[in-house]
Amino acid sequence: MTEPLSPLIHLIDDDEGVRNALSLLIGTVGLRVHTWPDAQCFIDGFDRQGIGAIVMDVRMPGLSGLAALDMLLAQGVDQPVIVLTGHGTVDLCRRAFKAGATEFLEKPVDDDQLLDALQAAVRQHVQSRQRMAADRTTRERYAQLSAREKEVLGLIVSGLTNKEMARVLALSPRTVETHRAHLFAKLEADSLAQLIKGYAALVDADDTHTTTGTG
Amino acid sequence: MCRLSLRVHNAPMRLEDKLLRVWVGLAVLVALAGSAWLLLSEWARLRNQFDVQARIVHRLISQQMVQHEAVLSTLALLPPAPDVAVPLTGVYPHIRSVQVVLTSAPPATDAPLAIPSGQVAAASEPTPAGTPPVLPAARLGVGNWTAGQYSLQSQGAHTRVTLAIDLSQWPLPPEWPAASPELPLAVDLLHGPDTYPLQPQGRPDWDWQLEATKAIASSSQPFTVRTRTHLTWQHVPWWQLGVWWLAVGTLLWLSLTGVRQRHERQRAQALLKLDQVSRLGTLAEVGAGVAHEINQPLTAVLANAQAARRALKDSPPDIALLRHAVDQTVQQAKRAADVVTRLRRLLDKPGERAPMRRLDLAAVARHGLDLLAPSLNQLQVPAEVRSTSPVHVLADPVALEQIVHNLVQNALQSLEQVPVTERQLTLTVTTTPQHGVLTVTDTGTGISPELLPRLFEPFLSTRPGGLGLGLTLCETLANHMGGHLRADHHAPRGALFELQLPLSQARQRT
Repeated sequence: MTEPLSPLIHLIDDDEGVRNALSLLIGTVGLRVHTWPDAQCFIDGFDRQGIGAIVMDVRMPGLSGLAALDMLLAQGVDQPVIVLTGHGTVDLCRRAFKAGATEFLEKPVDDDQLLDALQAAVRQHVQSRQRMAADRTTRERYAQLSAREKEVLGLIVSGLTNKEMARVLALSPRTVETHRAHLFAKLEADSLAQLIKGYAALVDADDTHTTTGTG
Repeated sequence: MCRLSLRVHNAPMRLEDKLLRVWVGLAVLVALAGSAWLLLSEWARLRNQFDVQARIVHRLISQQMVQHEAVLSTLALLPPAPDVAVPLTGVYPHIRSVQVVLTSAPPATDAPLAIPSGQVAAASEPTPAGTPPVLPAARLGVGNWTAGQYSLQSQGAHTRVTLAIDLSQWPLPPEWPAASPELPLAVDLLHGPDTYPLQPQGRPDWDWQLEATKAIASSSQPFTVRTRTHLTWQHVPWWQLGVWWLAVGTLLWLSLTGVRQRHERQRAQALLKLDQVSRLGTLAEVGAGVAHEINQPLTAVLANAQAARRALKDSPPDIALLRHAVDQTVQQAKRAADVVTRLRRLLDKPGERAPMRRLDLAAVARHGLDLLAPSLNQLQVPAEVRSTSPVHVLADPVALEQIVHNLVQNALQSLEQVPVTERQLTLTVTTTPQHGVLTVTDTGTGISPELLPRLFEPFLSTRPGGLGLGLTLCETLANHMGGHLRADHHAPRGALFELQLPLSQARQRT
């Protein structure tokens, strides 16, 4: 893909007129639209890695919108789904949200409502993807630390000074300094604040893990 | 598109076979028991009748035997005279001869007593003189018993009298049971091993036989009377049995018919209910279908128009996009219009409308009440049809029934809201110069003034869950038949619906 982060909206509706009109409308805010005539085609063919959102009608021949929603949930698809329906009942709404829909809109749909919902959904998806990516990087870097360095990191996060650490670990302050320098280098942290913000959670998780493991 | 269809589940609700078997079995049992009783009582009656006759026969024979003895004694006691026995044969034709033999001297008359019809044998025998007269004892003499002939002898003071009796000549006394074809009697006289058939048996022996045997209390003639009769198939009380079976059969048929009718009624009510439910269900389905069919193009129209509006905000606007959006809008708006046209065509099929018929308005009204009788009873609504003279209108029977049904049902729903004592439903049939008028008035909650002008608008319902199509449909149907439907307040309380339908032309002819 030439522009991997340009969001793609998947529009699924059995009605061609509705498909055309909605894709025209969504296109006016600069979002790319891929239309699908039925849910089965969509599930078989869409790119699960892409950034974007899904707009889906409930009442469709073949695989219904709710059934498709269940399948997406089961497959761990993370694109947010906006459900459209012409005959919205409380029950239908409840079932849609239970199956993981982010928004439930009634046809005929107001453009502001739909586009706002879409943009919010896309934003949410981008953020969740970024968070996932960041998490992955952090984890990879943390894995590079030696056992002693992890220990030192834990103490740093706990707020100990170098001298205190040296006392706790029965090391010379100089050795602690060295570990600390290596640790900052490996984790690519520029400041203490960044280090703590990025890795405190990991250290805590690791600590509880070790504690429960030994205890 | 959605199709309007009324699915009536026409499950065969026959009488359950088991129930039928029980009823028939019970009826057969009752019939058999009744038959047995009839046969037994007839048997008892015949038996009783036979017993009476047998007793009469026995008594008459006994009397005759006693009489023989009396005759013998009398003859033995009388001094022998030639004319003594003369009247005997006239009175007793079966006494064929009397033989008097003098056994003592005075008066010495050796002449034998002659009896005109019989051979008289007289003989003199020596009798001891001076013997006082004693009551003579009769003795049975020998005879041709199988022919009913025997002799009876008595030794008197001076004479020995012998009677020759031939029972075949015995004239049956008037009290003798008449030979009825119903109970023919056979009478035998038994003497030792021999039998004399006094009244012979004329019937074959393969039926049932009744028999009464009784000895005669006579020392001289110790016979036994055996009376017999035969019962045949003709004695079976066929007629009574027939009537009985017919009665049981009729009863069975009546009760089965009753049960069946009750089933039919229940079935009709169930069907009616089902019909209402399915009609509502279909309407709801149609509603959802229509909503979807119209919603889709509407969605497209709105989205296109809004896309165009957004495009117009850009400068310069994307003319190609605008043209496309407007074209799409037009196209989809036409599509929505098509849906509406198609729907109207579907709901209004002039070709398939039922032909108008001449209908008695009061009869239709009564039928409408009958159909809702269960609801009327349940809600304890007194309902009546008021009609002074028959009014015939020209209408589609199904449509008219539907209107009446809907109006009555509406009234019931309103009456349900008021106390039982205040409930009253009246259907009045009147006429105007051109129209037959059916007025449905209730004393229910009535129609609110702000609702009255909009009452026949579709999808306007005061009931939760109501589609609001009932009155709309009624009005449409009435208009199709060339009539009107009008609603009003009913004084002092309640609602009034007035249905006007064109009078049938045939009314002038009658």
